[in-house]
Amino acid sequence: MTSDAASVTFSNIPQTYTNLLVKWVTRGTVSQNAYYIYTALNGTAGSTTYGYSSGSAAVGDRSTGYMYVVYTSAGYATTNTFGTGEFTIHNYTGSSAKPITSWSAPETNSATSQAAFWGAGLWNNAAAVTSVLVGASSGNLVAGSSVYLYGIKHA
Amino acid sequence: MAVTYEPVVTATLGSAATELTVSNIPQTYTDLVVDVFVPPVPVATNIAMYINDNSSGSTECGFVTLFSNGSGVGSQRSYQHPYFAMNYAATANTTYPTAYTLHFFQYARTDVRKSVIIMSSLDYAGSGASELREGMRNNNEAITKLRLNASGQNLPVGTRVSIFGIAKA
Repeated sequence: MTSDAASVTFSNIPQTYTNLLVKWVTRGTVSQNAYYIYTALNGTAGSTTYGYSSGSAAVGDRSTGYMYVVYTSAGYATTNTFGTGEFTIHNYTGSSAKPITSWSAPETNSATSQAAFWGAGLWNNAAAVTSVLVGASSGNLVAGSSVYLYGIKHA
Repeated sequence: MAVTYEPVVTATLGSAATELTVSNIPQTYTDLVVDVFVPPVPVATNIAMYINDNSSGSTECGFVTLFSNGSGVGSQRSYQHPYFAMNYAATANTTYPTAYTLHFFQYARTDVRKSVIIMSSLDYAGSGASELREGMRNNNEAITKLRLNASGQNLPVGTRVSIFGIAKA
């Protein structure tokens, strides 16, 4: 990304793979140590069940509006540090709901609170996934953030 | 084009069965990444992965699970099993599919124990769990066979095990 933006969208995704893998290196503008990145498939939300640990506490939560897939570094994190992680959309061309697995690691090697995150999601829609949006739950993703989409094709 | 995950083999159930087996796994890679997709099951049940010909009496596998059930987090340790569990805080579901990713390290070596990391997607649109699991098989055997099992229940049509190989440089 060459400028700050609220989200990145991959459109017209080929239907020739089995799973989609999204990897990212991101940082947000919001005035927090870390915050959520979410995804929307074909422009619609789903649900996620996730947990994260900051090193001093562990939290489990669920979202049925946004599909939170990662916890990434934000405005209060050490300068030039970015969070990293990935999520997989399983069976994205299939005619049933689409399970999602995710993890992220926004470490800053400082006393600033970051978190190890793991999650499961479900896009409860029978349609094939043709677009994937990755967005900041608040504020923007900063310029220099990168989001990559891979197709994973089974034998 | 460089290949990181090389597709090796995919097995898909064409009819319901109690087990889905992938045999004769090539021994030419360094690690294996196994992608498992289970459609909604007929009966809520536990899913497990057996290694090679581990019988039900085997006690070779141990694992620790980190999970979120949507309202809290927890961990669980279990050991001396013939399998790696694929779920703990929620079972496979009769309405929604589940997906699992297993990463076996150094699977073809015959001089070390076998380690695995398992991610389980058990979100059910307002219930369910997310799980992260480490495991070890206390046996130096190379992994040549994987057997997906539904604890005595049937795995549904469309259950799929796909194996990818990762080769070191």
